[in-house]
Amino acid sequence: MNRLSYWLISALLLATNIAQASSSDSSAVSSGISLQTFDIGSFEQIVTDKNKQDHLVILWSFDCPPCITELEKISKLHQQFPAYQLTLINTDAVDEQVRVKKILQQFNLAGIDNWGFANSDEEKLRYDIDPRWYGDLPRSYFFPLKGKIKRLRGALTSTELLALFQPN
Amino acid sequence: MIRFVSFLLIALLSFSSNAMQHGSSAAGKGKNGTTCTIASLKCAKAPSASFGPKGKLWLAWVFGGHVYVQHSVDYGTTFSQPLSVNRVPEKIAARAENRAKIQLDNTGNIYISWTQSLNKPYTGNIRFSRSVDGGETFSQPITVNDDRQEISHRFDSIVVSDDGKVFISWLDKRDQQAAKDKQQEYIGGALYYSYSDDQGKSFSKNMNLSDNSCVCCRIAMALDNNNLPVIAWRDIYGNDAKNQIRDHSLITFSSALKPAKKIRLSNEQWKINGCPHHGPALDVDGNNIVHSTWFNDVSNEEQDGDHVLFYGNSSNAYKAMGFGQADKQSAHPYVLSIDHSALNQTVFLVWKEFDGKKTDILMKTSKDAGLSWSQNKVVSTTAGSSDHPLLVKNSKAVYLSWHTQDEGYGFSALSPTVLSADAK
Repeated sequence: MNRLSYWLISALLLATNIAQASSSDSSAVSSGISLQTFDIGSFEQIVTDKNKQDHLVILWSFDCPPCITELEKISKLHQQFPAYQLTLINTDAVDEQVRVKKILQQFNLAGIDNWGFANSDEEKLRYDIDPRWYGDLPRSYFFPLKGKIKRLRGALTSTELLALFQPN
Repeated sequence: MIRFVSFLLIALLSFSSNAMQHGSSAAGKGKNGTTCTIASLKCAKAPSASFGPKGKLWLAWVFGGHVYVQHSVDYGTTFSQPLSVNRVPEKIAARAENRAKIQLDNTGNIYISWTQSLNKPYTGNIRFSRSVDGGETFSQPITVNDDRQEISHRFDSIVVSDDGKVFISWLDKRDQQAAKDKQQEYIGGALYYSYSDDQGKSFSKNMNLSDNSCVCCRIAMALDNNNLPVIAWRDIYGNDAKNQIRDHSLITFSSALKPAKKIRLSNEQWKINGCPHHGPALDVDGNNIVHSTWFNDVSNEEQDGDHVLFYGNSSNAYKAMGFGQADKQSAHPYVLSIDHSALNQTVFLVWKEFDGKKTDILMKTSKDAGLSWSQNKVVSTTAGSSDHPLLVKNSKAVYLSWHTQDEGYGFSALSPTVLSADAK
């Protein structure tokens, strides 16, 4: 049984039904640095909300050197393609969020859709995203408007990232 | 299927309100419940345990920038008042793969190591303090890494021989930094090592044991029958920076300052250019056989049943036996052997599994030094978040040391005499 596929399929099915109803809340990014609280159900919400164009979700921690390397690359791509749909989910402890925000600010990524793990119950939060994720970071999920959803492990190269930002 | 249906219902019924709540309720969402303002085992972060002379059990844990120690004379039922090791608070890594460690020699001297986090991301120093008065007072902490750049010196591991020789290893990025300064590429970090032959009063010059290690997993360390360290760590194999294989290596020593050539411990070929956050564990039995266990997620994510946990020992060149399964979130294995007699080396394996709602600690035992194994058995369970499981032993038994958010700190005997008892 692949549980990931259940919600992926369900998210896609739902996407067309509720896209119209949810148009106001998905793009409500703050101009300051705010980390939305990532709890059980948040991932489904994020995926469902962002169904109008390609969408890349990246999970990261400040304690993970390859994550910081990847954020640097993402920062450049974000400047180049500001309209591209990106979601960053930080997995660090809640009491580390000052540090997390500082890094986001440093990479000019404070304005995009940023989420932070709600509590220390990491196993439940991870499982809610993907029961086959063991906490390795960075980890990305690519939801293309057309085509197959991709589960991407480890830091992506500049070429790989560019291919996601410019699929054709 | 239940999950699928419930998702549809929840999404359709409460879609818009959900989005609003998640955006604004950071403070109220934490499940930690009680606010921890007093240094206590209940509020402790990442405890570790070790037995000292006279059957005393010693714990080290972190709270509010301090490492605290406590001891118990009744196998963890009651503990002494916590005593702070470092008088000046500092930021201490105490989550997941990081914890303060405690070791004792046979005179009751206490040795503590930890990683101090510095300001820049993933930087740190290896810290050490000792008590030579049985835990009444602790020395001013010293920094063991002799490179003092604000870079990564982290993931300390410590073992102490009965006569007070102290061996510390850690992951160090000074060589990576040196390469970076020369605009050269250096993959990962390095395994570093230092040694004290005067009960931790002074340490040897730091020694690079191996270049290009992985940089975010715990190191496993134990003493062999010659009182020399054996170290296992997650290493990086292959020279392709874009296609890194994160398998494990193991190193032994012919004397305290003479490491042997490292050997490859695991060969699952896990290709990941990232941080696994899953380090190995090891122990050496009374016949000098090294037992090791590790995690490698080389499972096919589209199917169930593949193994992600492995065990191997030095008597058969670490040929891997797979056990925990990918679809059960099996992780963080730990191993310990106990020497009932030269012919009866019992080996214990414990690890975590998570089914979406609760975490179980599973155990497997071998009464023939790792040749054959018992069925899996659940030995503890929690519904909330929890630390990695650890094993601790004295001369008679092996104990599970496990800290959970809901139940607090638990210390329970796993000796073979209770193997057939009901799971707790």
